[in-house]
Amino acid sequence: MSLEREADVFARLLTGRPPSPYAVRKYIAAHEHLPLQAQDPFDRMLVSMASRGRLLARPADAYARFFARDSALRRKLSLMTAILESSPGGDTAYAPVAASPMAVVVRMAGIGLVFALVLAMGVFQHGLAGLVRKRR
Amino acid sequence: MKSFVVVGSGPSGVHFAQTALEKGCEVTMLDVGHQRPPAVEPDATFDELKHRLADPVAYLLGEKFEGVTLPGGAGEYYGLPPSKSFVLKGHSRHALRETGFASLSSFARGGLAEAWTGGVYPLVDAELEDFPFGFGALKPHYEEVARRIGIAGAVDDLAPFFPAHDGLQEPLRLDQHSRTIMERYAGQRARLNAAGCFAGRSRIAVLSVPLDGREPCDYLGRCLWGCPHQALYTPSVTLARLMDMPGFRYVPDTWVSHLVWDHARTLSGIALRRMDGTEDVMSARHVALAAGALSSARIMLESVRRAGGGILELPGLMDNQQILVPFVNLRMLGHVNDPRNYQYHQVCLGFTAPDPRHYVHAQITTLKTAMAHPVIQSLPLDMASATKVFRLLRSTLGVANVNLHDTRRPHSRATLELREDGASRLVLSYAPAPDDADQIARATARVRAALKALGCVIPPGMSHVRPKGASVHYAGLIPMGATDSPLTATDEGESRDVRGVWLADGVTFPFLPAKNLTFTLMANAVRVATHACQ
Repeated sequence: MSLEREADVFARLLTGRPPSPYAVRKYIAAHEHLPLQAQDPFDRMLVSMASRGRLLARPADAYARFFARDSALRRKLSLMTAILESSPGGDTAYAPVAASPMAVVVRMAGIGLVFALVLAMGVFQHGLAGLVRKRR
Repeated sequence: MKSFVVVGSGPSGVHFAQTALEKGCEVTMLDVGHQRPPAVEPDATFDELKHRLADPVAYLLGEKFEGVTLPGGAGEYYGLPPSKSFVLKGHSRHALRETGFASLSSFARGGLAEAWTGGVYPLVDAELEDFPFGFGALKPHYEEVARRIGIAGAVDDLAPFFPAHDGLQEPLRLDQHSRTIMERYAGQRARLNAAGCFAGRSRIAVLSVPLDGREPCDYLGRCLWGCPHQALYTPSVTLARLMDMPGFRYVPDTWVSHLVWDHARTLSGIALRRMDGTEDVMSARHVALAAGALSSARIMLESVRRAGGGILELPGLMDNQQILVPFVNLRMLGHVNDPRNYQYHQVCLGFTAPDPRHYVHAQITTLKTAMAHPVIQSLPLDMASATKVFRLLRSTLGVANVNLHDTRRPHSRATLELREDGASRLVLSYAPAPDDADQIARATARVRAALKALGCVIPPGMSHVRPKGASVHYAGLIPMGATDSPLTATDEGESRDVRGVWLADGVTFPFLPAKNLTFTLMANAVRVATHACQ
């Protein structure tokens, strides 16, 4: 998968919007300076799966958050977050949300529920894949 | 006319120099002097920068993306942006080995204080007990520094811990988050005070009204990136002023190796090395060492070694232990911060102790303008969920930076070792106090309890005990005071070993209270210069 493709999927995953050409250029340029290469086949597989689309990226990231915290996927997503928040429009994409305290609590609960589902999917997909790989 | 060579352009160096010049002396300042980059878009707020700059990512994250914090990154997180990288830029001659200590050094114009968050806290008599003077003697020098740099603050419940003095400007406008904390404190005052906790406004080296051509804070939220209007004081402000004063000469690109003295132990010269590699001995009769406690100690140790005195050990290395306690302020839930704000701390907590020297100090910084990705990636969620949660909680987030006092102990020390190439290297070793862990646990528990009483939630497992040396408040290796022994300083700050050598920085402090010491460094430098010029 190309870095352009990664940038597109990751930006949509993080903010719900496609990245600007500027953000894509910066994402590609950062790979010349930062340690973002996958360290092993499983790490490579996580990045490869995640860059196919948002639906695959989110469980892969949820899995990586707990079982591969320093993985290339987590590093690339952190980089993309840093670029998006530093780019024009970053002030709105990461700005605080005005809501009533009750609405905040309800939204947090919703996010938690979705996260639990996504994490379960990630553990099922990638935990199983990891197990199969170890058996082989 | 007396002529001084001042080594270093940090807070001690520039205020020693200004005092000496005002008293009719000549001053030559030797400095490595890495320079800060020019300010960009001086009228833009932090968020506006992202729209106005042609390449905002290069400014905010660096040309080589050095400002990106990746998961699993090694070392302590300091969060200095690329525009402040000049502060920690090294020097080829600087060599260091450390045990139990992780120090930072600066060779910038203005020194480490170029990254100062502006906390200005005079010491009380109890904290000055080991010093050869009390608050009364230091007060006029505090006031002189306050007039020079501009300090915003109030006389409030923290006044018993930060004595009042002249020269205070009106406090800055409180950000909404800090305001909710102070409102809650007003309702909980009796309960908190009974538990020995007091809250009030931070004293900060920031202008709320114009001073000497500097404009007051215009709430751009860019303190961390470098105040474009110099409303937030750093020593380079004074250095720029010194450049216009008659009798002042600034010599950058200069590394001071050691001092040279004659058989009568009177200073005769300063051995230095220029950026082009040439070495020289500059003739000098009076020098003020103000290179920072660690560098000044290195220069003295190297001077003794070169003079045939062998390699000595300097006991008494001190640094404030810091603990970071993140919190969520529930009263800010659902609110949106004003993007125009002062970015650093505006509120402090002070905690009494049976021994007033053991006062605990906490600075409350509320998250307004700052990079989000280090926080987002640390949440126990996938990045998409973490981003949503961060946005919902952003206005509620803050951190208490807790400072503890330190004392001189024999096993915390500095010395030199020779390398294979014959050059020497500074060696620092730090041994924590026997009750170090207890002190940290007690202080953290008190701060957490106070924050809870102020309506905040403390996320479990998020408090961070910083490594020794991380506070950059170094002191104590050549103490001033009554003990007439080698490698100490007189009450006035002159070396007891060599006539003509004045120790103007924190290397002479015999005790390190829990507060940021920069204000006292500057006031003491004025005091030492006053004596040196007589």
